Amino acid sequence: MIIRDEKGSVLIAELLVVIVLLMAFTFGGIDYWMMMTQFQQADHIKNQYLDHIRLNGCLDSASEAELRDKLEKLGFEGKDGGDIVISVTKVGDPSTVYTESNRAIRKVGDTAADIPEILFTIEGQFKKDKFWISSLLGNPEDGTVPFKLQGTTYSEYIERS
Amino acid sequence: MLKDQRGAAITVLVLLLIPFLLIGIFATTDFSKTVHDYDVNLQVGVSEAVRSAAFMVDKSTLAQGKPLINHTEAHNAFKKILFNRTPESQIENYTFVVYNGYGKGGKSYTYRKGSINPIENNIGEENDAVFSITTNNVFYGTGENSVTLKEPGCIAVVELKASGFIEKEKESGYRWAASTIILADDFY
Repeated sequence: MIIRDEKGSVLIAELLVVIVLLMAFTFGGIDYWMMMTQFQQADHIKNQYLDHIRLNGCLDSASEAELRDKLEKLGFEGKDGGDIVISVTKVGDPSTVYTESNRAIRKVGDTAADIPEILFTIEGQFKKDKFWISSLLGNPEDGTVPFKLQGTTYSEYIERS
Repeated sequence: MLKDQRGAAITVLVLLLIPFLLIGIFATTDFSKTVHDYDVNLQVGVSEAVRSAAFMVDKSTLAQGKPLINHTEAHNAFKKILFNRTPESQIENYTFVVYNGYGKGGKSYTYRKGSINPIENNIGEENDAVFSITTNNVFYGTGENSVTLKEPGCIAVVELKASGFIEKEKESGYRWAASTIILADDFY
């Protein structure tokens, strides 16, 4: 029907070209939305463990393993095939790392200036699981998207002797 | 396109619509910013600040078995954590109360924007440990929102006027929080 008119199948050929582009745009949008949702979920998980840190003065190894596991299941991985970097340090002093043997302790009777403030950082990248059609646009070779989550909290861990 | 019979009508229409679309987009952003400013930053900030203030226990009183909160340090801790969460310039008013009980009374700090230092008031020992919270103040005695402090504690109500994207003059929001020291069972 369309093929037999004077224009021939130009319209169909045009459509085929345009549809591919339109699909790429649409799925690109979905990819972006999925990434944002993933990121938001990761943010919620980060806040959950920030609460752990607030109460414990550090991120204990069991919680850290749990956090890594949750993030990997959600679709994150470490940069360049490594592990996701998780750090718990003092605000303004990255050399002070809080661990189970060196917790951020809030002491009773201290002044306001002595309340230990903790910086919690998670760094890594998104796993590559985009729709194949999205890779038509953009550079498929260097498609890694890094992410960084940060939060600060005041330690409420009290050492009881 | 400009040369057909309709002239530039469609182009002009689109140009007219663009500002409205932009306002719509900014209003949506404004809404989520408001939720974030008040329900996340201010609410969490005030409760964290009040909790940290109650931590400021005087060491010597702890040794006597009756921990009392150091007023000045508690106020410092409250300010430090509150201003860390929300910009100091956007805080309009706050009332911060430290109450020790045990016949020692307490102290209230009332800050109103424009004044340099908060007004300090002593709460006498005869006062009841029931406080009522209004939108802008903390009073002694029962009221609509009342808090009973059975142990030494702190109460604060804070007014925030966050800056918006479109409106310069926005409605302000209030959040309050209270905290007390709870002695562990094996304290004595």
